Amino acid sequence: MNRRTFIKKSSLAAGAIYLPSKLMATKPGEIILGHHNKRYYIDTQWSKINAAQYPVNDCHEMVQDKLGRILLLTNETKNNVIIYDKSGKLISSWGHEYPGAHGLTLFNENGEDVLFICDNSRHQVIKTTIDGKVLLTLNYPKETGQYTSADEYVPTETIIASNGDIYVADGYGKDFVIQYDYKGNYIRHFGGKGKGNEFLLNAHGICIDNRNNKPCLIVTSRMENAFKRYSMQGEYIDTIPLPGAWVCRPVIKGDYLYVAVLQSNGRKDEQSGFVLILDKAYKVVSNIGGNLPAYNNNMPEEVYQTIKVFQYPHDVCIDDEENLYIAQWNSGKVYPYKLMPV
Amino acid sequence: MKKMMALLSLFFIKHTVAQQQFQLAPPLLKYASAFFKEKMDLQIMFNQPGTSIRYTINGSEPTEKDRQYKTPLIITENTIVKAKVFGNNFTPSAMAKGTFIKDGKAIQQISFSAPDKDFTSAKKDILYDNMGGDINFRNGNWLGYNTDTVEINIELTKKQTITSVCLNVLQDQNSWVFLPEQLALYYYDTKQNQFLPAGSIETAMQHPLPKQCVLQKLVVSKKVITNKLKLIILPLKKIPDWASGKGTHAWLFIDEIKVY
Repeated sequence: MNRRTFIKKSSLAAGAIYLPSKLMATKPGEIILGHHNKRYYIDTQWSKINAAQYPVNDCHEMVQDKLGRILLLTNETKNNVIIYDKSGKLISSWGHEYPGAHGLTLFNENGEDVLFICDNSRHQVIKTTIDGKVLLTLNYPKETGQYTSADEYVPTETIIASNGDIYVADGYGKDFVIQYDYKGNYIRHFGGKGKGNEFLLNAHGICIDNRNNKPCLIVTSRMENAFKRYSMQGEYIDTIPLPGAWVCRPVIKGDYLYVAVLQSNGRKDEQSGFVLILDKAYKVVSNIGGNLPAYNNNMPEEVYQTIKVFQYPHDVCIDDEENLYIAQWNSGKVYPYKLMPV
Repeated sequence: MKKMMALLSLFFIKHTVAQQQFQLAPPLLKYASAFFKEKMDLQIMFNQPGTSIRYTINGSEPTEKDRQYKTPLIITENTIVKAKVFGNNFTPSAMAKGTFIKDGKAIQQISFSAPDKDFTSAKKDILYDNMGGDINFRNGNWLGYNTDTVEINIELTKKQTITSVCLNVLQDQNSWVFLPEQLALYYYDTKQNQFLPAGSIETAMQHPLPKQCVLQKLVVSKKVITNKLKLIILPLKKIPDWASGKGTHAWLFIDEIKVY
């Protein structure tokens, strides 16, 4: 019996377990985080880069490119984009003109990786090549008739459909999702603030869910502690409540949806974040650093932090080997952590 | 077997990471309101295998030897509950604390200075409805002020001896919400036909304090028999230099008054 099967057999759904010391002569007490088949070791020292040379401020989002490299977006203008290999070594960095760098989305456009950066301070979305050459800039969406100045528009996230359509979530502005074609021509907008299920409150993230027959959009309504699903044309479908969880952006890899939770409602402003993993039916199957909620009539009970692994996690990146990288906001300029599946 | 050991050690090397001890998060105290008429249930939430919640009701900081929480606590009198979580290989959590307050003397009505328009209430009994004790100042239970003086007039259902008055105040210094500089209590003396002083407390803002509800208790300094009380509250006029928002006028948030 190897260690992997031993662990599978010895622990069913423990939130965090310790390996028996006999097996773990070299590192007694190594922690395992998460639940069910989504359990991880953690390496908080993954980043090998020198903070004096390559500083970070908030680490907002991360993606993996087709070469397997891990890209980090930070609002530190000495190096807005830091490119790592999977072992945490620096490959390169670029970007000095994104003071409000917040959202980072990668899209494979006809075989080429391109990036979409949401900049909160510039009130713009900027499309670049993988090494930072600007390809397209989207200014505030006057065409919607909802905005009178750029200041009202504070985009936090983008997602790109397979046909190249660009969806922008104005998560710190007016909470609209604005849809453009691949050239940046306005198509429509939906969401926005309001009373009613179809509206959003802090539309902080967006992704496309292709796991079921019909693709749909999943949009964060963070202060409502929920995701909302919309058709690709912006028609509201339903709400996925996650009581207590300030969900950032949804990220789908394989059969699972991963999301960094900035903090919990019960302990706001107290570094109470964690990371949730949901299955295809949007049910929480693992909570890294927190409780596994019970479900009553498909409604999860409150989710909250139990182990102070993270402060304010802001994004999850899942690499080609199912490792996770967690970027954190306002957490003492900490570099990303890496979690490796058990 | 040798091959397996080699594979195993490879696996260990691959996953060798800096060993780290994490702290447990504080447990969550769940209750509908910190104020109650006869009794209330207190649930303490912390679902993490291999850990236990320990609590006290005598004011001391919980240790691993204190009572283990298993089922909701039934509270029937003024009680301070302190709880902590312990678990092998984890640093114990910080302490969670809750103050639970039983209803006092029957109140006829309470009138109050007009609160800020964003933090007011249409409920006439907002300050004696036994609802509140939650640190979210936007939950509709709180009255918010950023004025220099707040006046509150309390009328009891009958004339009686008063020993103390309690005011629940929010402390949320990161949101510029501070305890008041001064609380002064007056009682209506029917013989002299005027309000006379019954006691006061002053609070000095010396250093940062955690976000929590603070029950400020004014003990009446002499024998007072009345059915009318007046509270004059002086919110903090200038946020201290060590706090965010320094120099600006602080906010005062109150959500409940009890008379004993």
